[in-house]
Amino acid sequence: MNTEKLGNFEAISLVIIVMISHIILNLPNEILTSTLSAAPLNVIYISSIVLIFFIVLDKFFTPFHNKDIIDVAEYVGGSLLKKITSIIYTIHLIFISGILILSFVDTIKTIYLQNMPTELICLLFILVAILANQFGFKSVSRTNAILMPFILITIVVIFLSLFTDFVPQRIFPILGYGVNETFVSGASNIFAFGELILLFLIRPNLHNSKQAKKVGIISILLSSLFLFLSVLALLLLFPYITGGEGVLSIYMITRSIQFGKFFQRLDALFILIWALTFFSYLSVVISYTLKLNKKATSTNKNSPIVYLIGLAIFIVTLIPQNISQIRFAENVIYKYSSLFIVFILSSTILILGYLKKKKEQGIVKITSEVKKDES
Amino acid sequence: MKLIDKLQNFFSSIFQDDKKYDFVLSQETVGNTQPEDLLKKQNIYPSIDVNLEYINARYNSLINSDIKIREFILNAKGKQFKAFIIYIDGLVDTASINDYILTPLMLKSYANQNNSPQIISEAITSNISVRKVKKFNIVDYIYECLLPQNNVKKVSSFDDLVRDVNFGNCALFIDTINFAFNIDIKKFTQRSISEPKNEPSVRGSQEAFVENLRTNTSMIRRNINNENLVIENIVIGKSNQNNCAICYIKNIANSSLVAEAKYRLNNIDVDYILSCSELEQLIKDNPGTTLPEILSTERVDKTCANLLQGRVVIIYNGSPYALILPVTLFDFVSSPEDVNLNYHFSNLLKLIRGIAFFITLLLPGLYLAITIYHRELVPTELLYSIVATRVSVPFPIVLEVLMMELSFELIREAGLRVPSPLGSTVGIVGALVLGEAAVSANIVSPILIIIIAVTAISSFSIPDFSLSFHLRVTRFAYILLGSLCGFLGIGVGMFIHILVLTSLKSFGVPYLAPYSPLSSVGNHSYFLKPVWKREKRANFLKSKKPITQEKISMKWREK
Repeated sequence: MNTEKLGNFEAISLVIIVMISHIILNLPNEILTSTLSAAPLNVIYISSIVLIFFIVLDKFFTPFHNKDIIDVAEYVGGSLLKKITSIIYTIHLIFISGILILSFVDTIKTIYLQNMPTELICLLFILVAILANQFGFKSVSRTNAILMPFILITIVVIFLSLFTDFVPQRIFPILGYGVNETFVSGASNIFAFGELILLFLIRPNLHNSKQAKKVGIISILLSSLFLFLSVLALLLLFPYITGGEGVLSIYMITRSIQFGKFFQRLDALFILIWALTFFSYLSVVISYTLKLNKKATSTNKNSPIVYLIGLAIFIVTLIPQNISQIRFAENVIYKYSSLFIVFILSSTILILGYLKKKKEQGIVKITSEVKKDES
Repeated sequence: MKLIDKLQNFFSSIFQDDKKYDFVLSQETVGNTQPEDLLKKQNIYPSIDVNLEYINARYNSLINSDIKIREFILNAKGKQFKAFIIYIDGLVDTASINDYILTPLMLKSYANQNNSPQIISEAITSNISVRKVKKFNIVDYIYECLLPQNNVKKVSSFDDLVRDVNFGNCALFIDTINFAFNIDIKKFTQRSISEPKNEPSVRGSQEAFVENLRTNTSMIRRNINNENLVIENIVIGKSNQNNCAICYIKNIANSSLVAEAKYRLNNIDVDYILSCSELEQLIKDNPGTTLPEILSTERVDKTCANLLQGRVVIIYNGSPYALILPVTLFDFVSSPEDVNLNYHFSNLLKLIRGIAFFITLLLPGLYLAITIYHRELVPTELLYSIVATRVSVPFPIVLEVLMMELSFELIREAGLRVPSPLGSTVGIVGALVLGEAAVSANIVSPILIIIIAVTAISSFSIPDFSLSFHLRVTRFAYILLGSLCGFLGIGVGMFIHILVLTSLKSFGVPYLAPYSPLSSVGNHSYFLKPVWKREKRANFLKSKKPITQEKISMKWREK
């Protein structure tokens, strides 16, 4: 029995925790900036697209039982395509995780750790994630599953505790900049679901395709819901989001939370939860990058590769020189690399794999019929 | 003494070297262990003289004061044999030896002298009497007629015999017979069954285990009236071959769990173990962790409840504690009182204990994180009062916390080690004098005293001693992390802590079961269900009988 098989809850937690880490950062802010008051509508729209996209891709995945996108790439183009795909995925995961960590660390530094070097805090995150991977994938997934409910509850609490401060009129004009910006150019906001890349990699850890479909749909729905809540809270709370304060948009919301006169600034508590989210996120990303590399290089040892991945992420965190470069990487590079890898490269590989499989099955069927006729 | 001698002594004492008494342990030669090895693994000889010599050598009976060897002439059916018994004075019932071993064997009673054959059956046909006579066998005769004891075994190995003699049996050797009679005649002074001192309960049973293995197993037998309760003995240790009992209910406990427990116990290669705590460390899954992975209890009712759940219990001779396995983290936060109370009260107490768990672990670390990095979290009025109390304290806040934690640990350790009449004095000196004086001398702030006191009280509400210890140790890590990076540091600690917890297993059962991995929580959650709804055994135990009671247990309610 494969000891790395995940239950539904653990698998959904893995996907959601990766999504939530983006929501905590500037994802809601980015959507709001591009679509303004149509942001909630845009979230519903892109969620529907992603859901349909996933259901269609899941059909293409059906002939490949418990195989991930790397296995499909190998099936389509042999060892070469497998290695190329692994490298592209690895670079994407390492780069994006490095940038996200840097972005979060930068925010923490702005909020309260002004005297601590950014590199040191980044290193702390990476070391914890490396340590987590020394405990094994099972521990990482179980830890995620424990943390996930608390993280989701936090977002609900944020939304509910500010309910009275919301100004519903801010939702108007409901189409924001217009139909074109909301539904045509706004469709590119599906990059928000770029971390669903995990759904292409998680399949070997699931029991069957039925479970994969269930996990995928629930993860997308829950992620959409929390993205929707975050965007709605931001929209209804602030007259205009500039995004220029250099802190997390969700953090800005939490600063407005107060319960009576006694608890007036609870934002620090959310930092604790979000730090846990990012430890979890980084551990998951390293886990899957490790799996990718082990598959590509046909090695069994974890330790050396984990350290190398950690080092690579740390190097990425050293690249941006200032906040604008971080934002550029977060909003532009991430956007286009996600669109390419998740929505173009992966789907192309899958479709090709599906067609090849069908063709083979067709040949096999014809051959068996010919043999039957001959006999 | 003559004057000249005195003078001589005087001058010699002045000019002589100082003679100090200096004892140094000399290195023993390794070769002297060989005869001991030769003595072992030996079967009993037919010659009584050789046996006597062997026993004398093995027991060092010439220098051992409590080893008693009594030689005598055994009378059986008019025949006489040389014999001897060996026992350890203080472990046996000497009256029984006199009355039920030596008397029947030595006295020449009529029945014993009568050498006529034993008739099994007799048939008379045509005035001819046909008798079936049993062939006389001295061994059978002694076993069946001369040893009126309920527990007598024939043993041919010296090792087995010596082990039982060490436990209080008496061995009888007879000339020409190549085995000995191993007679159970134990009687020794032991502590009587008393109340559980470390796990008190108001409404629960007031019986606690004692040091004697058989007394402990008998208490379990009395409480579990089920013939499927199996109590197997396993010998542990080379120099001290002590008995350990492994108990389980055959038709409830998972077979692989029982096999694993036996496998671990049978594969312990140590010279000696003196307590079940040492045994616990030798069989736990992750010896490196500070978290307890086996539940240790002195309560008989708790042990029985766990046996009936499908768990395995290990009792070690000489230790008044039973080891229960497998366990989860939540078992260590359960109190023996829980099952005896109405489930509403139990759950309230469990909730309080859960909060105490987090306070014990995190409060000083959180205090540091908040006061150093996250002051905005504290309401303004409270922040003013904290700052006001700290104005005159010269130390950094982290040093203040560490000093107070260390002082508290000292008081606790001193309170445990001093004789009990002085315990309260240590408490008074520690808590009142030091606490009050430290605040008056501006060494610590009053608010910190409150924080440390609340942490200490919370730690006392954790029912398990080992878990409480783990929390005390880990708390220092949180203090350092909280002071270094605030909530980020606390987050690091929590994340690593959760990772450790999720990676642990106790005899194949995940440590955070049933919550992680998420299995069926319903039948064994942290909070107790009403008695009538406890229909299933814990899923993670994979018991042979998963159902404990029917859906409707209060059948009297049904018409």
